Amino acid sequence: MHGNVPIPAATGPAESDAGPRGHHPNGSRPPATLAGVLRIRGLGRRFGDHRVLSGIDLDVGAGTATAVVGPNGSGKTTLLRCAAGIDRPDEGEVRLDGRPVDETDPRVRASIAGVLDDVDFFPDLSVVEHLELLAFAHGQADRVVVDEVLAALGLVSARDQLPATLSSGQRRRLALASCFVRPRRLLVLDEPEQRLDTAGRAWLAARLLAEKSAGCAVLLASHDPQLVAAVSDAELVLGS
Amino acid sequence: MTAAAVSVPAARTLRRRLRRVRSAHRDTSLGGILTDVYMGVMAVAIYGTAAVTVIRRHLRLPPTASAADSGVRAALLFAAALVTAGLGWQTARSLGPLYLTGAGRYWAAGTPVDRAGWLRPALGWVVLAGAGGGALLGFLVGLVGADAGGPIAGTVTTAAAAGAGLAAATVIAQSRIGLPAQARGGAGSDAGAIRVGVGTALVGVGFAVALAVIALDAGGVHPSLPAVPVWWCAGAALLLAAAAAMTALRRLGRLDAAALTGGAQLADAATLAAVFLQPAMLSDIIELRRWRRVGRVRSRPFGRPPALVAAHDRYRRMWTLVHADLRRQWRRPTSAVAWAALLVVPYATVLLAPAAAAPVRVVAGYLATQRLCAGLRTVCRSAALRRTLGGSDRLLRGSHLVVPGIALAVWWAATAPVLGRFGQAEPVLALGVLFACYRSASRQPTSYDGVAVDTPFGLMQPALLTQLVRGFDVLAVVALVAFVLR
Repeated sequence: MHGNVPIPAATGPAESDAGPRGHHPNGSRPPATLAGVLRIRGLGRRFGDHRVLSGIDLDVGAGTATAVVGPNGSGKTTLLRCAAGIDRPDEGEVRLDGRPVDETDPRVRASIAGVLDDVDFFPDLSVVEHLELLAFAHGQADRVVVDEVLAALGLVSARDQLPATLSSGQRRRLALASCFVRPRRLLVLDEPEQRLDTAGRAWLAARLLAEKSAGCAVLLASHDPQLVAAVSDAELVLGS
Repeated sequence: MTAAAVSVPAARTLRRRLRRVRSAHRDTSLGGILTDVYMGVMAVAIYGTAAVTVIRRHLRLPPTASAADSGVRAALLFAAALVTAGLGWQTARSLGPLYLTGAGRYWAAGTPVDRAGWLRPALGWVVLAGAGGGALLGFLVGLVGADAGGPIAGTVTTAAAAGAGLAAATVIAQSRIGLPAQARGGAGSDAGAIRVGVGTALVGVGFAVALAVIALDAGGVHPSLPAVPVWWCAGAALLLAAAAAMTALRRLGRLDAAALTGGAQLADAATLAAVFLQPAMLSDIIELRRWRRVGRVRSRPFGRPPALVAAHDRYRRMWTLVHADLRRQWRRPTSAVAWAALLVVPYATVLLAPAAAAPVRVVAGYLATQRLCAGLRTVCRSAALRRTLGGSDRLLRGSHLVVPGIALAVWWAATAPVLGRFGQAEPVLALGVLFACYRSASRQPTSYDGVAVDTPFGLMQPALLTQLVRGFDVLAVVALVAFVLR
């Protein structure tokens, strides 16, 4: 039995009268005022007595990108994990298109495409089989999309390779490719520039700009100032 | 914003597709699978039959002299069942018990595919495993002759149903539907944190019951459980198990990624530890998770040594190391609680099976002390740490044996009345237990470069076996000596 899951289609930038976004006590560059896709209020997360995040407020609008920057251990990945519903915050709320982000909701899983620190691979599936499986599971019947993404990420020659034979850069590209073979409303990327060569980084910046143009909201953590400057409309500085 | 409806495949369809694609790359033949099954069945049949014979011949509990003794035994077995259930609960919750591998979560369960449908087969396996484990325990209880006169089939059915119900209950606990963070597992719990409340309560109540029975028996009061026909118990357990399984089935859709991936790391580590015969792979992950839950501690300077100690570099160094080890114990209160709880075991055993009290005391003493050897384990395993700390290896190891040694001495003296005497062999046995703890804690990462020997069971590496049983070998000898001297 197949089920129909309504996926909010990505839309172009739209005006909104919402107030300042991306607020954080440490200071942030406010984003453009666009229709909110992701809304975080008062988010807090701690491990034992160790508080990693506290009082985080953030909005990411459709067609905009917000970069989370900060030193190691400042909570960037934890924030992204909470935003993607992979981790549960101890305080505050995370909303996607006005609804609480609940990872058990198929609509949330259909809307958020994320590459965090948890991408793993089936050892016995090839590159193209991974992507086709994901596209199939998202109801994406068009195999042309997979071929296009393979070509765009320079993975055509590796399409039949098993993950164990891929370089770390190729694995990174495969993980990134998984975001683009499926419908998406919000992209959550944790240091997407990692292990990419110069050409790969240039492609990534261009791709993220294209995603924004298509109306997709982007939330990324990065240590690459050039990527942040090229892509982001707002910055959230953690741990300063 | 527009909404587009996407046709998402059913979980079963996706599972079939995944299985088909993966099987296309495997070179395992049907004959190979059947051979493995045959070998497994043969092993279970041969060793199972031998185990049944040994248990019936040597481990069968002696017949009770009176109804009062029978009541005490039943009450103690009930306490043991509670402790077993609590430990089973904690183990299951550490793993999930439902969990997804990283690949499974990202490429399949992380898609809009029906979550409940994806997890349904896994729930079936968990309940089946619980029922199997329960049935095995029930069978063992029946074999040792402690089924209180009821039919062994009734005992097995009751235990199987209880095991299945417990397994389903752990899934219900895992779902933690709609609860705020504080209620889910305590403030600051990390994703998939071990929820130990129920397990700890069951173990605690079990030990409290055993303690009460022992105290009452010592005072001349012989408690007993109400005589309920075993098939009534089986019926009630089956009903409860069915209700728990149905509830778990309904809640499958509420299991989120955080709940499903928490145990994956532990399960992967357990698998690797078993495959590579490296127990440290598992214990390292358990330690990591333990300290991650603690998160932050209050750092304080170590106490100044007295003048006599401070005058000698060797003693001053030892003083600081012992202080550090004491602080380590302070930050692991569960080890101290387990140490105290295990005091009950020899006293309970002497009421259940007096002949087994001496060796059981040895094993319990080992378990109580071994948990206090975390510092010793760390120092023994890390040459880099030893170099950093300075001093001789003997000093470092000796310093980390002080706390476990004193704890064992107290434990051993506190359980001496069990045997009703304090013979000359007592200090030797205690030293033997401490030596077993030391050997266990000083186990190095498994080395695979030993010579292989062709045996009737296939190629074996004796060196591999000696590495694996390090610690347990001495324990077995000490237990045997204690049994002979009882």
